[in-house]
Amino acid sequence: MRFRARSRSRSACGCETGAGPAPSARTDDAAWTMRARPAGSPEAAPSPAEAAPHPAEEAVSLAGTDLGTGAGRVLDAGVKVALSSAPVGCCGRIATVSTPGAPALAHRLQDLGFVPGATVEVVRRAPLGDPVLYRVCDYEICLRKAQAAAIQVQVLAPQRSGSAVPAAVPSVTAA
Amino acid sequence: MAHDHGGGTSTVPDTLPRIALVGAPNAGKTSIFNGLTGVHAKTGNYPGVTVSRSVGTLQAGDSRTVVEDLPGAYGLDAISPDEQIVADVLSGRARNVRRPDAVIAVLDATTLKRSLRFLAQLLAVHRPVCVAVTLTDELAGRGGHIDLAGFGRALGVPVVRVVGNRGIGIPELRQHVAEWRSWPTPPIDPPTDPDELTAWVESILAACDYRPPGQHNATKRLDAVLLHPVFGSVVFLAVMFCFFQVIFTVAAPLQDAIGAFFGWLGGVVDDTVHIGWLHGLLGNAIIGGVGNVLVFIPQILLMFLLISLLEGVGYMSRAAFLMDRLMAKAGLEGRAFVALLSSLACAVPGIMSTRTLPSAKDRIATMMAAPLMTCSARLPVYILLTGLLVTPGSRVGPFGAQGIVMFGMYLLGAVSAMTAAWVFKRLGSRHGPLMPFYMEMPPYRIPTLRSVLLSMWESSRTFLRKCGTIILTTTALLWILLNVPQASATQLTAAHVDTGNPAAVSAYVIDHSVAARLGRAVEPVFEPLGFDWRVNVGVIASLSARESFVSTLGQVAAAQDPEDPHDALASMTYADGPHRGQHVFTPATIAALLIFFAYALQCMSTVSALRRETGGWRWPTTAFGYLFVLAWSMSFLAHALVSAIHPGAG
Repeated sequence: MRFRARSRSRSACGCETGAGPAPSARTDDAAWTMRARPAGSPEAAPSPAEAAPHPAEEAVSLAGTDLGTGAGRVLDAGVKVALSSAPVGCCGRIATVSTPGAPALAHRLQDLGFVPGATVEVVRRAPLGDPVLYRVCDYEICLRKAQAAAIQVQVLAPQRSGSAVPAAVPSVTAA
Repeated sequence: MAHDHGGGTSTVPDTLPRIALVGAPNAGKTSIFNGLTGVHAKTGNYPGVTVSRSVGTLQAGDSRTVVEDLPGAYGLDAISPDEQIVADVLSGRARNVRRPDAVIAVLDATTLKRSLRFLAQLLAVHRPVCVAVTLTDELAGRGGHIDLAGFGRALGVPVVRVVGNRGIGIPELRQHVAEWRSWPTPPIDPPTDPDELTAWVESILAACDYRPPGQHNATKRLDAVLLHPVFGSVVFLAVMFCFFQVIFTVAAPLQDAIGAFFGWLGGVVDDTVHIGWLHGLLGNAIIGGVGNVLVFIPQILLMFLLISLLEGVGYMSRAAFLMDRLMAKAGLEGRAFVALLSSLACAVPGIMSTRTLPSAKDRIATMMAAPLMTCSARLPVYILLTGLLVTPGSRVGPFGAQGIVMFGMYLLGAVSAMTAAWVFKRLGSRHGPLMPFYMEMPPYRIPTLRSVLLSMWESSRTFLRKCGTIILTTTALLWILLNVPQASATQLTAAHVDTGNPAAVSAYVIDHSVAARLGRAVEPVFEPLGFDWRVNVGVIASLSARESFVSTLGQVAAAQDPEDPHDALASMTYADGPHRGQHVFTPATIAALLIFFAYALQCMSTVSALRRETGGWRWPTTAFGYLFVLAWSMSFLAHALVSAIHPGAG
């Protein structure tokens, strides 16, 4: 089940993280609710999100499991959270990067693409809970909780599948 | 072409123009560097620091140009020693390194949104900049797009598309290098304010019609399995298992063949050279020494092959991701796992591979821990000692008792290494800020055979050059210690030694050698552990390479086959002293020896690698000292413990 959920994760979150060539993965409206089910819960258990057939139309929530506490939490779109506490599959726009007393770390996070305004997706948590893999600036990078805690994100509403960047004909124009 | 393999200083003429290659790790700098300079690269360290340095020259047009491959960096606000070097070299602050005249910025086309921020910092350095855009094929393959002509116009600097490992764009880049003086420079610096910089990046990307690449589908599917909590861990264990199978079982017959070849060569020397000391020097010291070095080759080559393969494919980052939490328990990070893994074959490549760790403290802590991992040179020693300790074939439940002892030794090594890393990390963390942890997870790629082989060759060559000399010198030195003075025929007859029995003669010579005197001199130190002077001679000999312990002890005990001295040692008794007539190898002494070898830094190659990588004697002496004290105390405990269990035998 987790496999299927993962392969649909792009439609589940609001990131415009690129053009996947498999359109079927993006046309599945229900996909995001599958993603949203807390990891480890029984397949049949309904998650709060499954009650809403068209998530993008109302005050949408993304449910996820915080492995730190083991309890499922619901994040409303627009809510500001520390990136470290955003659940897997969640997408957010970076609001602030603040590292009191460690300006070098803030600089570095910005060099890595964690800049205010950038979109970041929580891709995957390591089996032992830490570090967490993020997708930012079109690439994947992992941070430990301690570093991700310095980044505040505004949770994005999941977008309808049509808004994703369309698959493109590969092309590079030579200089 | 000037070649300098020595290290610190460069012999490249200082008058030639210098061009630096700068870019993020994984951007493809090294393949561009190899493409530009071919085989004319030299590697060493930057003066005063343990950051490796590659410098090469290339013939561009009519003139020669020096190309320097700077370490990978994400920005000029340095956060690691490697990045500090990049910042220092570019600003002209680096000691004994001239500031480059121009910069080639290597940008990965799939991560332009991030790497343009770095380029903005590079443009502000005010040196002529040429941009080499790599991985454009991957960008196109993942549905992205870039108009490179527009990119060049927007940036105001020359832009070249390069696919380094296929050689595409290298001639053009070479052409550009020849004309570095005429590279246009942008009239104004890019902004430094983060928000304005974001706007600048967006405008550049818009101007070149940039479409970011989609997620790599194969990577997504593979990661769903390989980083899965259950399957990922299973695959990880399977990969590790195969790793060791290849290193130990595939390498074994090759190593035996090399051993047999040098045995045969020694035999030829025996038959042809009849001057006693000369044939010993040739057959044992020189040929034996070279054999000692070469026996490591199959294993080292295979290990570096597997590591560069796993690295090239992208699995090493995944392994580090999976292991990070576990390594964090010891205060280290995921990437240190690769270093400790390599140390299971040999601590030297393990210590070398700590270079990938951005944090200097992690690097030191890992280097202090690496010698504790059970390296393959300990294996012959452990096999001999467990054979003496446990009756072959005896079982504990369904498991062979010898296997359990061996497993215990590996476990002891790993646990001790993690503990040592934790202690050194704690000691080092009292001052200075903590390094953040971040690690890029590249998409899975199929590396070219050439790049894998090149990387394997580079690592193996460094290993052989450094270790080879040390092992060879120490082996020769030990032979001299063990064989000087030579016994004359009259001495032998006077001592009632059968001159027709080479084993007896060599035992007599060793008994009266300088090494024996050393062994007796250190007897008070090792006496509480149950070692007699002959064991001490073996311990001293093991400083060249741990497995020398076996053959040296074999010679001391006058075993018929010094390579397999099991029987001779089992019946060896104290010749003098209070224990006269008692067996030397009691269970307590054997246990103490096993523990001693698990901890002691009996390896001069490792000491030399530590010196080279830390740039001084402070850490190698610390490592040798702390490991010796630890080894002595732990073996004393083991001796006391086993004596208590087997009171009669002690």
